[in-house]
This record gives sequence, C-alpha cells and structure tokens, in this order.
Amino acid sequence: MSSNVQTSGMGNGKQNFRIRPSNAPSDGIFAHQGQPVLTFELPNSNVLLDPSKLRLVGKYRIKPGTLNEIQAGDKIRLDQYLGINSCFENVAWSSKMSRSVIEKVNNYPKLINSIRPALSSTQNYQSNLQVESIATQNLDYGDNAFGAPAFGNGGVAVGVEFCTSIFTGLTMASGNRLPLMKLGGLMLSIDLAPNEAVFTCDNNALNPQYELYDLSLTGEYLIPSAEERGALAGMESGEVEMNTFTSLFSILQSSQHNSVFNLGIRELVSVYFSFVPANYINNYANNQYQCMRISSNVTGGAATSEQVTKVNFLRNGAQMPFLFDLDVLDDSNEAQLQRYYLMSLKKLTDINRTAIDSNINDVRTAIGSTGFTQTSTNQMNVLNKENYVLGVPYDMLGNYSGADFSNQPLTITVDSNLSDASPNAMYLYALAKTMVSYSPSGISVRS
Amino acid sequence: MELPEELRFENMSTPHSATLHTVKTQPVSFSQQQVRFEVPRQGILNSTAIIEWSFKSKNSTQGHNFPLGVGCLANIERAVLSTQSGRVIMDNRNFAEKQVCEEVFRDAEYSHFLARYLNLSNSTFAYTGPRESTGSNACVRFSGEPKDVIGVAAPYGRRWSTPKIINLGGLDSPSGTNHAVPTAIQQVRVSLQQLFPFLYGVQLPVNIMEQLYIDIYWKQDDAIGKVVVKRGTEAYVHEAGTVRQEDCFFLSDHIVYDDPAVMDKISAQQEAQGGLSFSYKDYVVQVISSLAPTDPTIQQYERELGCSNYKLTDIRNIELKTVAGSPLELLGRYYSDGDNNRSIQLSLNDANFNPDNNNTQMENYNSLSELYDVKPYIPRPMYSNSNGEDDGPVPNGLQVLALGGQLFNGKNQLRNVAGKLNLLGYNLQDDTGRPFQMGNTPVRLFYKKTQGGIGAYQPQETITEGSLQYYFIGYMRSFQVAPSGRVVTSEYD
Repeated sequence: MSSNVQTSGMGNGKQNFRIRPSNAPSDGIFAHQGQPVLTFELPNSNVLLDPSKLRLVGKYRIKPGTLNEIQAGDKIRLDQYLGINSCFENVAWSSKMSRSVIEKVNNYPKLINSIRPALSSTQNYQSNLQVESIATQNLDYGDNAFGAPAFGNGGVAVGVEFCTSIFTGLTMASGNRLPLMKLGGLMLSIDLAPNEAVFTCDNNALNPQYELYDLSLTGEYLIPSAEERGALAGMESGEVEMNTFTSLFSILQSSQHNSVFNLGIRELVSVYFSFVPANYINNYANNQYQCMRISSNVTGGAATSEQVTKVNFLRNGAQMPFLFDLDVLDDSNEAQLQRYYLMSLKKLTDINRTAIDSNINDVRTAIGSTGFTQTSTNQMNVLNKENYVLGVPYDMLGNYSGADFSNQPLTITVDSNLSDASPNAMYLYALAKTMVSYSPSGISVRS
Repeated sequence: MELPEELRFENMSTPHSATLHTVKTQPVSFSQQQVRFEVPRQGILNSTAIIEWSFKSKNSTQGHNFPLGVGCLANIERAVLSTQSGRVIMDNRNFAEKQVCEEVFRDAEYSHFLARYLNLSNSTFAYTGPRESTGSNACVRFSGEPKDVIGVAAPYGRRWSTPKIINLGGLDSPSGTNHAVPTAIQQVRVSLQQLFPFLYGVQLPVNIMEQLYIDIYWKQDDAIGKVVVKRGTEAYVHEAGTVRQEDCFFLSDHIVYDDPAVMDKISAQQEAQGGLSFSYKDYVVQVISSLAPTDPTIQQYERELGCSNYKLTDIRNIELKTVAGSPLELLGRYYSDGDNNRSIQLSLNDANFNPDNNNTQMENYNSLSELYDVKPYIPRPMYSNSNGEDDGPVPNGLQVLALGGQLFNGKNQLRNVAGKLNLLGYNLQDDTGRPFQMGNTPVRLFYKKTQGGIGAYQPQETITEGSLQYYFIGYMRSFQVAPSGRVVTSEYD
C-alpha cells in the first residue's frame, strides 16, 4: 500500500488490529505437548476496546505422525457444539500491567456447552459457528471435515482455519467499551486442553495430537477524538462494570447430593451446571465435554442415564430464588427444570431460537440409541446431540442485578435415581456483576 | 431537520386511526427492456408495496429455475426511483448481483418458506440424512425434496434435490399425478423495500411530493445463467425468455390518517422546516475485470474506488470467474468464487483499514457477518475452498470423502459449487452506527488472491483465469421534499 498511517483524524475512529501471541515458540506452534499456554497482550494505550469484537484466529491440524495407526473408517471427533473451542481448557483475563485477574474461566469448553447450544439455532451451526469455530452440531460432518478423513493417514501439515469468538463474561455480556489505558492494558491467557480431552476416537490404538499455529487475536479499537482522548487521560480514577463467570467443580456420587459453594459474589446473576461421568475425563474413548445426565453403572465407556427427581437452590440454608422444591415427575420431560435453565441464560421472551430441544435431550434416545445406555459407540453416533444443563436465574427481571452471595454460601441439592455411587463430575458456572476500579495506583477487581 | 414520526417506520408515541388503501397499478409503459410504474399520489406510501410479474422461459419445462441464490431478482438489471422533474432518488445498478450479498442474510425459515412464495429462490441448506448419500451422510446440501432412493439420481431427470415448488414451469395440478412438463407459469414478486432499501426505515408522503416513478430494467435472457439456470440433465436455457405484461403490477398500500390534522401536521412541519429531509443509504457499484496473472500462484492489484467526501457505511464484493463472468449450474451468474484465498485491504483517508492484507477466509466471513444483525447463512463448504484442492473445508487428504464433491446429495456433479458463496464485506460504521467520513482522497483498494496449500501439500487451483468483480460501496446521502413538493437530491448527507 502507499500508506500505512494508522489513524487519520477523520473517519469515525474505527481501527482494526491484529495481535500475535506474546509467548510464541520459535516454530510458532502451540500444542498441549509442547507450548501449552497461549498469551496475548492488549496495550495500555489511550484507545477504547469493544470486547465483543475480539476473535481468536489461527489454524488447527492433527500433528503429522500421530495418526499412523489409522484404519479406514476410523473416527476421530471434536465435540460437535465446541469445534475448535475444545482445545482451550482455561481462559483468563487480567490487567497487563498489574496482573490482577479480572476473570478466569476454568473448564472453558464446559461453559460454552452450558450456554451456546441453548442460545444458538441449528442454522448457526450450519453457518457462523461452523465457518468460524468448526462447530457443526453434526458428528459425522465434523469427523469428515476436521477429523480422521480430513487429515488422512499420518496427517498432513495444512491446517483448518478458524476465527472464533471468545466466550467469557467480559466479551459476551459486558457490552462496554473498555478504556485500555485505565485498565493497564489487558492480557488474555489460554491454557490448552489435553489431547485426550479434545479428541474422541473409536480406535484405541490411536493417539492423535492437535497443533495450533498462525495464531492471532483480532478486534477493533475505537480511537477517541483529540478531545475525548484528553478527557479520558484526565480521568484519574473510576469504575468499569463487567459481567464475569466464576467456575466451580464438584462430584455428585449419591442419590441425595449436596454441594456448598462459597462464592463471595455480591451480585449473582445466574448459575448453571452440567454433568459427565468422571471416568470420561481425559480419555480418547469418550467425550468429556458433552453435557450429560447423571450416570450410573459407570464401567469402562458405558453408563446408564438417570433422572433427576428434585433440585433445590439455597442461600444460607433458605430456598432462593424459589421458595419451593423443583420437583420432577417420573418419566417426564422435566419441563420446569428446562424452563429455569433457559431463564438463567436470558429472558424467556428473548429466546427466539435454540439448537436444543426435548427430542435431543430425551432421556430415552438422547445419545443415539434406544434405552438409557451410554457407550463410547453411542457417544460417537451421529444421532447423539444431547446437551443437558440445569440452572436458575437470580435476576428474575433480566436486568443483570443479582442476589448477594458475598457472605452467604450457595447450596445446591440434587436428588436423583442414582443408586450405585458412580462418580459424576459436576461443572458449575456463576455469572456475576463485577466492578473493576482503576486509579493511579492500579486496578482492583470487586465481585 | 427531523422527520415526523408518522413517516418513520416505528411505533408512534400517539397512534392515530388510519385507513389503508391498497392499489393495484398497471405499468404506464412496458417492454421487454423496461417497465415504468407511476406511484399513486395518495396518502403515505406504506413500506409494504410490492411489484409482481411473471417470466416465461422459452422452454418452460420442469427443468428450469431462476438461479437458486437470488431467485427472480436475477430478472432485474436495474431499479430506479425518480421524480416527475427528473430527479433520481435511487438508481440501483447491478441490482441482481447486489442481491447475492443480501439474500444470504435471510434466515433459514424465511428462505425455506417465504422466499419460495416471493422470489422462487431456495437459498437454504440442511444436513443430508442417512438415506440421501452413498459416500457419507454428513454433507450439507440445499434443502428440498429428499432423494427417493439411496445413491440414485432423483426422478424426473433431476439430479438435484431442489424442490419442485420453485420450478419455473409451475406445479402439477394438485389432483394430477402426471409429472411430465407442466405448462403453468409462476408469478413472482419483490418488495419495494428490497428494490430501494431506504424504505425499510421511512415511508414517503407521496401526496405532498411531486409524482414518483419506478423504473425497472429487465435483465435480458441472452446468456447462460443470467436469468434462468438448468436443472437436471437438461441443457442450459437462455433463449430469449420473456416477461409477461399481463402479470406485471405494482401493488401499493397507502396510509390516509382519518384525522386531517395528522396530515396537516406533516404538511405544517414541511412548511416550517422549509421542507422534509430524508437521510438514506445508497450504494455505488464499481466493476473491475482483471486478467489472469502471469504468476498463477498470486494475483494482486490496486484500484481507486472513488467516494471522496462520502460518508461510507460498508463495502461488499463478489467475484465471478473469467473476465466475462462465467455461470454455474445452480447459481447462474449470482455467486462469488472462493477457489483461492482472497483478501481485501482498504486505504481510507490514506490509512489502512486492516492491519494487514492477509485476512484468512474465516476472518473474511467474520467481517461479513458484521454487516447485519443476522449472520450470513452460508455453510463452510459453500463459503470457501480455502484449504484444499476443490474440496471445501478439508485441508487436504482423501478426495473421495471430500465435502465439496458431496455438497448436496452425495454426488460429485456439484463439486464446482463448493466455495461459491465467498462474499467479502466490511462494515465501516462504528459500534454506534456512525458512518466513516471520507476526506478528499478516494477509497483505495488493494486486492490479493493467492493459491493456498502450495508445496508438497495438495494445492488449491492455480489462478489461470481472470475474474469479474463487483464492489458495492454503501454511503449516506439525502433528499429533500420542498414545501412545493419538489424533490431535491444530494450526494451527501
């Protein structure tokens, strides 16, 4: 080009940017067995950031040489609702200068599966989520396009491009322009997931590994006018309101389960949680990122789905937000539980599309077979689209003003038909309003 | 100058009772080149007006459709809204090509249900079921009628599962079972809002404006894929199909408020302000034809697109193969070629819009998706062949299982449609909707196309053909309605 001036003084201040990882190894390849941490630094300059426009861009491939044992017809799959986001285990936002953590999401793929399928439609999985995140809602299609057949015997060194949104509270639900200088810049840190968690294979001789390369963080700054820049620079202290997720973990192992979480959150907006058999975690035979029902008879890759019979949410021992038990009738479609789960995501009247329905989550057929049996084979069946999540809202009016859990524990009781003490991993997320205060001495984060 | 709320398309603070008069108008002139309608000067022209017509291809048999992406809009070369005194409010050239960038923003429900009753397009997709593909049941195809038998071509000479309801030859009699050549002719329609998009936001007080005319210039059915595409094994048809005058109408709804005070208020505001000012978005078109590069692995060029001092809202691009724009079987000449990696860099006010000109295809899709609130409904295999040789999203590997060859019903005949909705687009407005103010310099464009997968890995196609590119540049402009009713247009807002 004839010019590379970055801002012109006219226009409207919109300026796209691309930032490369700040910790790239010499070959530029990030992998769990290699360089497993990915860091981007957004500068502390006098610009405004629209966090909803941030995209993680790069290429994904199966590492050459890790598919040598592949046989014709073998399946190697990414989770159908996650796509490339299967590769990101933990995601954290912090101030670049002070390193104060603003938001940290552990088990990031489980968070996405707790939100995205319910708020997207199948059309999204056939267009934007498929193009950008290689999330297809179709296991066979994903397998052919991004799994074993795509990479062939031994894998090849040409990758699949992606350009995915970042699903954190700061980027999804905040809706603010962030003054980067006041926050001391921002740092995005991503821990990559183990290969065993990312892939599901039907041939136990296979140990595929993934690699990410050509990575960058893209987005959009708003360059303030000269007057606005002066005004921004003159603001010595202030507060920015954000929404952030807190991630928690527990194990459900009994028919009358009780989890107590000390959240320390002043304005809790909603909570949601999901289950997966604990032995599905970190092995190639099963998909640990799928949100499943409570399971019993967990042996090997097999398990039996069990029904939840009652759920209760308590603050300090008193029922809240509901003053009644959430009872489930035997063999019912659990309409009440699903209603409150959807309400925890958005106002019901605002939910006009979803990729999840009662058929997909029907306990009898959810995982691609009749009966209640989960097996490795059923998990890889194209008919398996189950995504079963529970949750409740605390901002009943949908205005993001929540309940005070700063000094009071959240207790969740789940009654189910589980009778054999099979361990079920329970992933819980709390969405809360967070205040980030900035001053000449740095920033402080207050939940 | 604020418009009265009665003229804006929004909920009013004080609703008034009104009578809606629906008028069906015949053309004041009609030919196979052009049709002109006179807009009735009655009340306020509601935004629901439509234009209807029918098109009869020479062989109106079962195998002929409008191009599946844009439907009957392929029949419109240009749409002009002008006044009695010769002022042109909007002159939409290359209208049909522009619709490639618009129709993909319809959601599946609209495309699958409504569009078939409006414009006979079928731009919607679905995963194939296990009974519809021999090689793999994980393809994406145009939705429509399922194949009857696994792996065997669909009946009636069709190889594709396009629904019969969009057939130009019309449908069989509901009671009939004979599937041979129907002779009916289907009527199609386009809304005035789609012809002149600023009507999505405002309603024109035609009773106090000078006489308005709508001119539509028909696209001539004189080349393959311009108006009609083939279907099944039949030959292409482009043999001077005709627009039928007897089916050509302008249907408009006119709001007349029962209380004369409301209309008086609009007139009074017009008087008080010295006229009513309408700010609206228009677009200019630049067509660039480029020859094949000497180096078949890369093509780059720089062009000026004009638009000095304009307030820009967006820019969009489609690319057809060959300098004349070659057609495709299903999409006709209404597609955008994505066989190779394409990227655009813009220099606006001598500053680069993007940090580099190496945007990947998936970044391009992301930029495109910011044009509207609705995401473009383009499956990945349709968007680009960015990674491998004519095999859709597959980076490389087994061609037998490649998706490009199995886009629709598992058969290979449509692999040339893979990657053929590779639209590029940039929203130039900021997050509050402010347009981008250009200075005295023109928009400069830097275009780059590269062959991906070079080297030991199976490469994409080499760049051995030229291309025909359309750039649609949106900008804000305005027109004023003087107290006398005279319309004055301005290139600037």
